[in-house]
Amino acid sequence: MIHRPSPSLSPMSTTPSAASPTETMTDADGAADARVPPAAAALAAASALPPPEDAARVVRHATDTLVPLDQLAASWPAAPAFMDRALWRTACAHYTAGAWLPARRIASQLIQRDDAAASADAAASASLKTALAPRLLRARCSLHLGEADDAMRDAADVVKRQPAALEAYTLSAIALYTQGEYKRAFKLLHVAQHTCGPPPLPPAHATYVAQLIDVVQNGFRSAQRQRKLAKRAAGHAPDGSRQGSPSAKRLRRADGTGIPPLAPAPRAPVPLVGPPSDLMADGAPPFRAHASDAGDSDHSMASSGDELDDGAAASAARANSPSAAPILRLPAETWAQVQTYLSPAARRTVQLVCRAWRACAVATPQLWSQLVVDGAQHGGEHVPVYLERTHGGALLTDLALAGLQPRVRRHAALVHALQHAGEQLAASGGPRQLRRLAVARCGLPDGALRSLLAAWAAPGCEEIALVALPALLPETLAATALAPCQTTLTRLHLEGCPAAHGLLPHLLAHSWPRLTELRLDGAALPPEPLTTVADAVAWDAGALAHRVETAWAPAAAARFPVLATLAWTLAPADAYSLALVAFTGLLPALTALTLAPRGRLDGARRRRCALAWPALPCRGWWPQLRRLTLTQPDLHPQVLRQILAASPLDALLLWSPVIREPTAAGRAPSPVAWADWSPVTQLTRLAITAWEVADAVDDAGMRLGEAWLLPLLRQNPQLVSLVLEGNAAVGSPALCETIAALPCLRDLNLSRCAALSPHAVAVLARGCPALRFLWLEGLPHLRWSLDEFRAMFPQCTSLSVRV
Amino acid sequence: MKVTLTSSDNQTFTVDRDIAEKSMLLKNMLEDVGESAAPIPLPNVQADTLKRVIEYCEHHRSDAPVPADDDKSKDAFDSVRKRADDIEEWDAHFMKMETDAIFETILAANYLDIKPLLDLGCKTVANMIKGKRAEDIREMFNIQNDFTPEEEEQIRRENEWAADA
Repeated sequence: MIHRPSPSLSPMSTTPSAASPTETMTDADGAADARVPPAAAALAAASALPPPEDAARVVRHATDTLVPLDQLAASWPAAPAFMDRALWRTACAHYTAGAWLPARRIASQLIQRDDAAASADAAASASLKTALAPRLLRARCSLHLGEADDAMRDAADVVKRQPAALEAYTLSAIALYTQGEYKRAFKLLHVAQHTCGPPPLPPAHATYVAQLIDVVQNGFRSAQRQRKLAKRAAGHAPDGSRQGSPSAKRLRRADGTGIPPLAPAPRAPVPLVGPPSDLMADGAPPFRAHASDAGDSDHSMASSGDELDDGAAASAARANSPSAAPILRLPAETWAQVQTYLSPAARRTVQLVCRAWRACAVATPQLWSQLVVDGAQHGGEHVPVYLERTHGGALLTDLALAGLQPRVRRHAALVHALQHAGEQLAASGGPRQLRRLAVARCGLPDGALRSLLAAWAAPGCEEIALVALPALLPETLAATALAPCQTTLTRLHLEGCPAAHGLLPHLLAHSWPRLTELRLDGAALPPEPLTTVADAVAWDAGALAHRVETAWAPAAAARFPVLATLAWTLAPADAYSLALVAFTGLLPALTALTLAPRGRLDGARRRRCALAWPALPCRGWWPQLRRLTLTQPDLHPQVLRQILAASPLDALLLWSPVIREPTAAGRAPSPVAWADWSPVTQLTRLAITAWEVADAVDDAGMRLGEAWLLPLLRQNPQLVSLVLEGNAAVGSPALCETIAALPCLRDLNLSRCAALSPHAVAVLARGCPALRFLWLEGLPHLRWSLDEFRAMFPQCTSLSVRV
Repeated sequence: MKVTLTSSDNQTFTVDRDIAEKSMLLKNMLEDVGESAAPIPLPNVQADTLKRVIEYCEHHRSDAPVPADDDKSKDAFDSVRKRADDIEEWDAHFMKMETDAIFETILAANYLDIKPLLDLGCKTVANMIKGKRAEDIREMFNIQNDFTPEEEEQIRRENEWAADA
């Protein structure tokens, strides 16, 4: 094998500068050029064995003037080693000066000479350790010339001969990067970290590799971003060009070119600049890599699950720390994968373990994507931290603000910071991740609320909860909070906001294609023409019926196509309420309805409504309703009758039912008088409780009679859960016999049913085959001990008998 | 066809090709190289680790191949979080080894590109971390606490602000 002036083959020392520490590349200067003799003279001089420096100049000049190197060599046969050295120096000089083509030509010459010599020498041929430095130089030149495949071929040749050649790995990675093969490049760099050199890598090299990993990551992200944008633009067209897809890989192998045949992600600009001084500086990495898009910090996509994690660089550095525990040597993407199996709480614990994991956590936006600011509990010092770690809030998924008051200075600062961040995001126009927005118990004026909501209630928001915001104005609510999210909103919860009063016209004026859950508290007014109390009093049943048929029915289906859960706190049983209840009957997808009252009505207005209700065209209403919850519904019993008749209910929950019609004496008869229970035959859950009221009011008005309950239980044999708590008149042995015969009954609550006698309980104990949970609280006249109860109900897993 | 693998400490293992091809690295290599009797050097994997990896591949030789590229949408945090407790019984037993050996196995699975084994290793480590305090985790993995008390306090405070803490 020919003597090589750069015998050291340790990976990074193959930079040409290592050729000879005593010789600098000053001979590449223009000043040196002036003294170089013309080619003929050079040849003549060469035959006279000039000193090395002159020879380098001679060779370089010869190559510059395109004197064939073979000719030069032939004229200089006496000193092949000297010749090699001179060629090498010349190639380095060209490379340093940025003359890639001549540098590559000479490197090729050197490789040829070396290989030829090696093939003549059997031992060298077997070891194959030939021409490593020239190959690497040629690979670099190829990279600079944009010929990544050539570079990869040379790098692969070097790895074949010298498996631990870090530079070969980095060059290949860069080549892959320029071809858009980010994942492979990333993988290669990680392999290099673990394969090359005696571990750990020398610091300079480790830093360089970490830098490269950074570049590759950025490339990967921007490619991913563009791919997503492209996908979005193309709808859901089949994406054959997906980077690294199995088919693409197969094709790549098949044609053997190494270039993805299907257009890959847009090729990033070549990330390398190789200023000559860098290359020659001792120990410095051979390339200064920079990301063309380094300034682009708009990381639209969360990527902790991706191979290329933000923490990769930090992890790359820690992986090489010599004292690292084995777990710290895991590659970044593997550590990221481990974390995907942990709950957010566990991930936060993990960042307390050591700095490396902390750095990784800080760089994982998902850990910081739920921002809760409760002015009553803390000062919000964490807000800037969270905003920073979620890229200015772009990756926040949840934002909940509570207890912010206008006169507290730090609250004002918080509001301003949040508003500013939101506005910045809106101005940047980039995608945002916010899904849930809640503002509660804030005494802020409407202006502050408006700017907050304007900054954060952006398209894409799916859930909005606004609770106890007295100053919020209806226009702000409609235009600022709801309008931007109209097409994406799935859940809306408004409670304690007077602004909700005027909301229904707005809701009806727009379509809410994805709204499935609506909780409205605040006695929302019905739409036109019932806008004032005066209207309601002077209200004409015929007009309402007409209105419902002509205007509301089509609107309900068109505006709320998927609304399934509706909880409405209604004004008392007046025209408003009836109109609103009528409206709920028109919602095509409604499955769960909760109606809660606010206040009471005087008898005169109630009677008026009672007359009006039967005129409404209720047939076919509530077609899907399965679950009805009425909490003290001071509604006209006709409403309940209509709902029961129309819907195949499987859950009926009447909490403290005060369903009654005033009699002449001002007392109400039993509610059964007003409800027709015969259509109710499919219940699995029934709850009728009157627990607080039953004690206070005498039985004429409040007691739940059993006469109507017995047939109801008999016609619903599939009942699983039955709650009759607090009904003083309930508990006869006859009722208990009926209950005991229910074959599926699992939960039974007869607490505070004062009429429940020991004999009745014994009747219960003989039946109830499926019973598991039993409540018999507040019944002091049952004098059994807990153990005795257990013995009576051995099938129960849970028994509550507190007095 | 048989494939011969050489570990970093120069022990050779001969396995069936379909077992070797559980490793994407070896699969690609074998496809590129074609039929060759030459042993494949694995300079990153020690003999005992390689033996374990081969044991795993042999047990799972009839499993359906895993799609190499999972470019799924990982937008929502919920969808990123996966379940770590769905480990098969044999796999759970297989992973009962010294802590260091677990990491060697993970590194080897990563290097050889055997996705199911890498997943298994990651799940195992996650299960080791779950429900433990930071001090316990440090002790278990022999990690030095390199925080100052102030820094630690700062992080604890941050954790208290977390929504689901």
